[in-house]
Amino acid sequence: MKSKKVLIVENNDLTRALFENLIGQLFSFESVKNGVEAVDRASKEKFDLILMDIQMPDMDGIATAKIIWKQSTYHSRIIALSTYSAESVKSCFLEMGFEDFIAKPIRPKEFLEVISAKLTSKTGENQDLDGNLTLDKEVYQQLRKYNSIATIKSLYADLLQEFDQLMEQIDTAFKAKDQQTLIGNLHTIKGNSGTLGANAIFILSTDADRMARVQDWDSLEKALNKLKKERKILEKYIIEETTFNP
Amino acid sequence: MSNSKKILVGEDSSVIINLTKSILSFENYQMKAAKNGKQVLEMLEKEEFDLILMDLNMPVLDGATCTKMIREMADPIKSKLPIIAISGNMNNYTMDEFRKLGFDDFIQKPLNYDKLLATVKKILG
Repeated sequence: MKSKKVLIVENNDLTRALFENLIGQLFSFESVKNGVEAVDRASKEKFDLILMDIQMPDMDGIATAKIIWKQSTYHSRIIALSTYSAESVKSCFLEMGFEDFIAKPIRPKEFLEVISAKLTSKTGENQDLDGNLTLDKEVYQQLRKYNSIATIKSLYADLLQEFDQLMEQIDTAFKAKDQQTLIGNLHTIKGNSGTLGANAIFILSTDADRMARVQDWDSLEKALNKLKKERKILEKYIIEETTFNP
Repeated sequence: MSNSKKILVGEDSSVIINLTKSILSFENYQMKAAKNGKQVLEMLEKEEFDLILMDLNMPVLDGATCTKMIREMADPIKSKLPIIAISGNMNNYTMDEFRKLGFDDFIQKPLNYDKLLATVKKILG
């Protein structure tokens, strides 16, 4: 998802470095140290998302966001970040027009999940094709950079094989309502599929992981069935992809 | 060239092991894999490495406990080895918490291949 670009606005050097490190793992980014620079950058380029620290000297995040919104013809999506984390604060930011609110100190996983969700749930223009959901073209291209077709084939063969092994354990664990094994195995499927760009499986296993955590067995059973179906679709897709693009 | 650098990967998923291997070999790094924390410790006994990539969520001995044991080793070279956590971050740790657990850095799963290489390069030079 490197095609998505995030603007980080944060005056604290350490925090900014942390955000850069996290965001850079998934998206392109640019970062600035204060509101003035943010206004300048946002006036020259359309960012997919802006992360805005609220407590900044001179011009705070709220004032900065208001100027950015005022000067552009579209509504920039801006996430507010603040150490004030009372529940009422969030609705306050949403009312002002912010896309979301993240409390500081951030938790990396949650942080990335919120941002990824914002960047992948785009409305309107060029909706991704189903094919891209089965296998992310960008990830595939990245793989091609480092690997031969034969290696890629074997990587996906590994993915499918390991999926089957994990799924077998998941089925057994589901019958025994063994929550720990379910979460652990779904977590591994999530990591594997996400890394290799099998987006549909990644999304389904993320859902299933959440259902296992709250012990929603009915929904989990459905999600597991969907996962198995999706695995077959992926297998077919890989055969086609690696055959037609030698 | 960095062709003499040796990396040990502690990771229970063969998908991630094979992928990591192919990416690291792209830069001529040598890589060996261990399937759990116990195997990581066994391999450290026998061989010398320049860096460890450690999954947190592994059977037998998990990555955090394994890292703690490495940090407590008597051999100063081994106890100070750079260790990078690779994890889906199931426990939702902050960067600070990763540092406290003894890790030098952290790469979020799903793995970004460029990020993986860049992080390894940053440490190994």
